[in-house]
Amino acid sequence: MNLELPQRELSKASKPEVPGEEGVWVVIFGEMIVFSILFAVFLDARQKDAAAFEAGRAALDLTLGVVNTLILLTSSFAVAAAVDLYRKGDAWSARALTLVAALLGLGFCITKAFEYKAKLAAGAAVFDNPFHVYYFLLTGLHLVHVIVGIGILLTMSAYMGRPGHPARQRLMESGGLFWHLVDLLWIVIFPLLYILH
Amino acid sequence: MGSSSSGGGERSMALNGLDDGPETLRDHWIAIWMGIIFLVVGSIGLVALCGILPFPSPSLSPDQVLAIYRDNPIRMRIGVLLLFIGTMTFNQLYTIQFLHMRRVEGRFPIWSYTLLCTGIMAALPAWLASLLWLACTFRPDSDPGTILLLHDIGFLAFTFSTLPFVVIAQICYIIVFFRDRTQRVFPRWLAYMAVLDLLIFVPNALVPFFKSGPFAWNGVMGIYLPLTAYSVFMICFMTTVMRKRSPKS
Repeated sequence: MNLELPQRELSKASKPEVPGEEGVWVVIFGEMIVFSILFAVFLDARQKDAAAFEAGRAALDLTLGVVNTLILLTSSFAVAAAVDLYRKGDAWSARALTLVAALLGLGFCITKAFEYKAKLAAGAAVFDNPFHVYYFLLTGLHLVHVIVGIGILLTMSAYMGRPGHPARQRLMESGGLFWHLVDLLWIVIFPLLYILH
Repeated sequence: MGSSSSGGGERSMALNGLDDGPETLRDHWIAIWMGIIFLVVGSIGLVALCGILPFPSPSLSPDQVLAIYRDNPIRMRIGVLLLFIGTMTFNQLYTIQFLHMRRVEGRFPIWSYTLLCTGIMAALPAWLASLLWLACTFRPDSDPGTILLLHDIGFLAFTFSTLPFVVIAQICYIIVFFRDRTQRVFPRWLAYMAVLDLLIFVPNALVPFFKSGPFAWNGVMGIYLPLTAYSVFMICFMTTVMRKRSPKS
């Protein structure tokens, strides 16, 4: 009776695998730290000038905020499903779902554009209220991440032509992880800006 | 390409897979320690210069700004002197960065040399700022308008330094992701770190537009986050360069 595990299974058991490339976790944790610092700065500034911040918050469109949250949550779900399908070999469906997620991301950008247009209609005077400085900082930086994330999703869907290779699967997982980061950031930004009073 | 001539398996585990011998290792360590010492000296100068580390806000009144330079001229001059020493921090570190990146590239090491040039550009504003602050403290009784202007230019130069650092991060990203395929001189996560740096440096471009808040030159996005992110990146870079790996042929 052969009591030894085959070498491949041994190495698999001793090395727990983290999804995606190890480098993408550097970005994820790094960005979480950066945004945590920004949230702390925001909360500190808010505490010093609560009236102005509350006035700014009241002027925000809560409906658009909720719509954006739903858009990102749905797109995150689509990406997770896509990566899973790709892992199982169904490249066509994975590609379709990734494109759906990218489209939803684009929808997020469009609603954001409407919000920004309404705010900036008053011109540079909007920055007299410190709340708006932080609003544009947090949502603007997040928007940059969304745009980068859409680019990553489109690249992922382009590369989904050939399924199966483990390194490529890891790249797909990495891309999906970045999109989940984008979603996670918004889930914290939304209550912080739109709801907290 | 073995190093049997340098005496055994120990020596062949040279830093970052270099097959060069103990002198190279020693030079690396000297360079890094020089960088650290210059940085510490420069930081002490910065603290002495600005009183306490939080930079003066761009929304200070003219009287407050003049008071900075008139109150303690001797201390300020010592601080500027130390800051000048601190501007030498990065020269040798950029050279190390350049040389290891050149190992990756082929006959036309475009990116490595661009990194070297951009590194010089990145280090220059701190030197310029020190010079201007020196001029402010040298004759604190001179025309207030001039002192205010030099104060502004100095702090803007010191904190509004987006582009060189963005380009440095971009080059690191290009080299590690797209060029470093065969030798694996650098780990891939270093490229992701460069991406993180890029994302943090982009909002720094808004420093000229704000005189208070997070984007001002004394704000979190103006100076503190970019400074921290870049310091962490350089520490990670130097750590990966100094790790011991067996040389690959």
